[in-house]
Amino acid sequence: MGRKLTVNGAVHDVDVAGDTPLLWVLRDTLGLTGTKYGCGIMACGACTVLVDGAATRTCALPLDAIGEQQQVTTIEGLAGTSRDPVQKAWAELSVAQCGYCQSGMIMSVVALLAEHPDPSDAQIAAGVTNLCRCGTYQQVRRAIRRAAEATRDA
Amino acid sequence: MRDASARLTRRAFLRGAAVLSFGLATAPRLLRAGAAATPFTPSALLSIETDDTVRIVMPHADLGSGIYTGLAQVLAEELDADWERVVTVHLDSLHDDLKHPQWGVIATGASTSVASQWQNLRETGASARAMLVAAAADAWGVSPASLVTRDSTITDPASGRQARYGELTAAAARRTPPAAVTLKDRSQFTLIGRSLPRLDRHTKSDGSAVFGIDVQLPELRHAAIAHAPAFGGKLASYDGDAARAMPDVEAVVAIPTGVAVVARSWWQAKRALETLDIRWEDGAFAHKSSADLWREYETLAASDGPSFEQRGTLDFDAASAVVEGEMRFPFLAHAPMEPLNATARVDGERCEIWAGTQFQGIDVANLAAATGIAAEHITIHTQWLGGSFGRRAAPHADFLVEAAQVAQTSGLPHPVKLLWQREDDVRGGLYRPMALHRWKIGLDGDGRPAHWRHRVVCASISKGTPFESAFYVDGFDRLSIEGLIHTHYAGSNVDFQLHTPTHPVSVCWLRGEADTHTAPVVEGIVNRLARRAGADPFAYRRALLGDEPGTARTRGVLDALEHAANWAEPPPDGIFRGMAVHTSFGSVCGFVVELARRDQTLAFHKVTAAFDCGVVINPDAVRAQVASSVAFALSMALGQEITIEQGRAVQGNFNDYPVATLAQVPDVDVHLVDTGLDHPTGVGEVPVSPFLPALAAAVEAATGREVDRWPLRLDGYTIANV
Ligand code: FES
Ligand code: FES
Repeated sequence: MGRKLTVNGAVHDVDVAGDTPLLWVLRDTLGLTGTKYGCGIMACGACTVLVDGAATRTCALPLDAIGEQQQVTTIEGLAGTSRDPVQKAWAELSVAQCGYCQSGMIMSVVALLAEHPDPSDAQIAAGVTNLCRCGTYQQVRRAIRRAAEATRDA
Repeated sequence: MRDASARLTRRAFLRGAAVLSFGLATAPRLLRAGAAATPFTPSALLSIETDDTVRIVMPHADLGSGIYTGLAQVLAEELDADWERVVTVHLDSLHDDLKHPQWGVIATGASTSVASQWQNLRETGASARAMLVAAAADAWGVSPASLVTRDSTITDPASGRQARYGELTAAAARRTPPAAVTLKDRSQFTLIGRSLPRLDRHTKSDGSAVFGIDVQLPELRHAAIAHAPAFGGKLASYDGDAARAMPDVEAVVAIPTGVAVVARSWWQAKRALETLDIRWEDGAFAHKSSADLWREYETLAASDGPSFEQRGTLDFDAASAVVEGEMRFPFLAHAPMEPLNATARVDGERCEIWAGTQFQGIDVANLAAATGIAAEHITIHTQWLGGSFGRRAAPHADFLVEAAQVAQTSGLPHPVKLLWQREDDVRGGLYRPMALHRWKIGLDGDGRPAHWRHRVVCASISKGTPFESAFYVDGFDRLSIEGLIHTHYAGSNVDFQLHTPTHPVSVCWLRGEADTHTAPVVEGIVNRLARRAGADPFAYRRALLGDEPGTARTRGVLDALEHAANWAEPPPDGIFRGMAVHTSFGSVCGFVVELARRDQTLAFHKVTAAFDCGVVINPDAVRAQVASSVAFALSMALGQEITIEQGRAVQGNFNDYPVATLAQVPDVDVHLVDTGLDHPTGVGEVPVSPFLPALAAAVEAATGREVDRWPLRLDGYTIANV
């Protein structure tokens, strides 16, 4: 019945229906609640994680779509606000307001910077389509720049 | 050093040993025994522990604006606390010390948190400081006045002796609280006025902040719910047998507002919910559409209604010109990022709730009424909340009550987390009311409004809620007319009227409240009149405002805005601009919006804001609120509306109820304006409303067409990506 799922480097045996969205496997089965539910229709990005490094919305992505060899990284799998350059920039600039969208926002930005270490405005706009109802976008843009600089200088 | 204006404490809030005996529900027992281990807990708001931790219980919910940090700055300032040792905790009890100082109940709203707690938290900090100082003075045999405090340390300059607050907790706890305290002068502030980073910046950047939806409890069960699709509808019957037979489903229950499935996981509950065969009984409203509502509103707007402001005599024949106009506003859903949810455990005599909510004090009364459990046996454990914008200040505590009813009706001994789907929220009512404004204005020879008749058609938010008596003034719901009533722009002859239609679509406060429609109307009118008079919009406003003291802050903001936006210079070729200024929640905010335009596509060139919110606690946090309010307002302005067909909300999720994206939202150049106020005023909601008319004015300048309905999408406008 069960299958394997690799999250943040750890292999889990999960025993849930294969059509269960990955989001709910992460949250309710594995207890990784940093990844959020916002819309359930892939429209907001609150549920964004990395699958083999690619920013992926998980609220309507069935568990079956993830291969047993694939690597899922959630916000809990990043190095934290003192070491991960994106999280560090987020903390330094106090980006989060309510904070609910920010796990997904940060995961999108991690993927963006992996692809474009020095992203243009257009690349940021195209790469970060997560919705923030609080409207933190100006701080998000500033934090992306700061994280990009820190990554380049490192 | 302390200034001379000793003030009586708001109340004799410190009650010595009696206070210590109940302590805080959440206060950790730091050390097991001995007087030395006693934390100093002079109020339910504050506890100083032997390890120097300064623990401040937050009397208000932080909806995202950062008030936890701001409130802590205010208290820590007067306490002279070491900021590095300050921690904030969610409130977990309904103690009197935590009540809203003006409302007398534990609640958050109307952008009042910092403004209303300003005095109270300062007094709490100053009082605690005085008790610590007195304890040290006693021990050292010196006069308290000779001691200085800084960073949670008391120093005797004469002898060089020092003591940390944590060493003095037991002695301070034995002191009698002072009858009066001396508060600092503004010039002495070291924490207030500084852009300290938010205290929640780490947990909200690493996924560890626990929102209501994240609450984990032993044996937790999950519930999904179906609500009547039509406003005014109700459950007729349902067949839950198939759902009950599904694996992991533990209960299917009907409650007054819907049918819920309780299962071992939320996904399973949702799936089982979809198998239910539910028959709803639509009410009479199920034949209605938005078009029908607008027709009713237009009929009302065509005739006189009761006047909420009236003076002089309207005489349009005497006017040198007459202008007429209207503006219409749709229903709007709050759609906070975290869908509504609450976790409830109900066992016989007691009810425990875990949720993000703005209204703990009111929720308890609603929960008591709904469950039959005595209020004193109901506990609310406040959690972080993923946005609210007023939605989690539910007058009837809908989502909390539903969670309690589902838990209670299912008869399960387990806690049950009820999570709404996004569609439950967007389709579920409690909207910013739809509103129609219609006006007829007679101008004097200078093109100024001399005769102003205005009709507002807007459903009442407070009618039938616990707030009716608070918000109904002279027979009118202030939540429909705030921002228009007493406008300083009106001349000597006015007749402002309000029609209050009723319909089953429930309405509620939404970030900015009535000002989200009155500001676009009033400022839109003034912009048009200025244009008609061939006057500069700043100069025209100054002429209308005159030099009454009541308009001084508005004039100050106008001056600052005009300067900051470089208004004296004409805009570059192809750039069109507009401005507006508005007072709400005690603060004044103005915007200049500069746009480029290609066909129906608008592109932001520059947005400048000037904001007077009195004493600024944390400048960066305030700037962030202004910038993010622009994003919130832009969502309203561009694409958001809830329309009704067959009595149902048409829109259901972010695909058809769009939120402005990073690509669309401009940077905002924010200027904080100090016009000399000696206390803070509202922040979180204020900038939303004035942005709308400033944007409209720029659109009008760019297109030559007046904006008379929202959202702008209805007239084909879109915003280009920045
Ligand atoms: S919750 Fe997945 S995109 Fe919104
Ligand atoms: S910070 Fe609240 S939704 Fe983004």
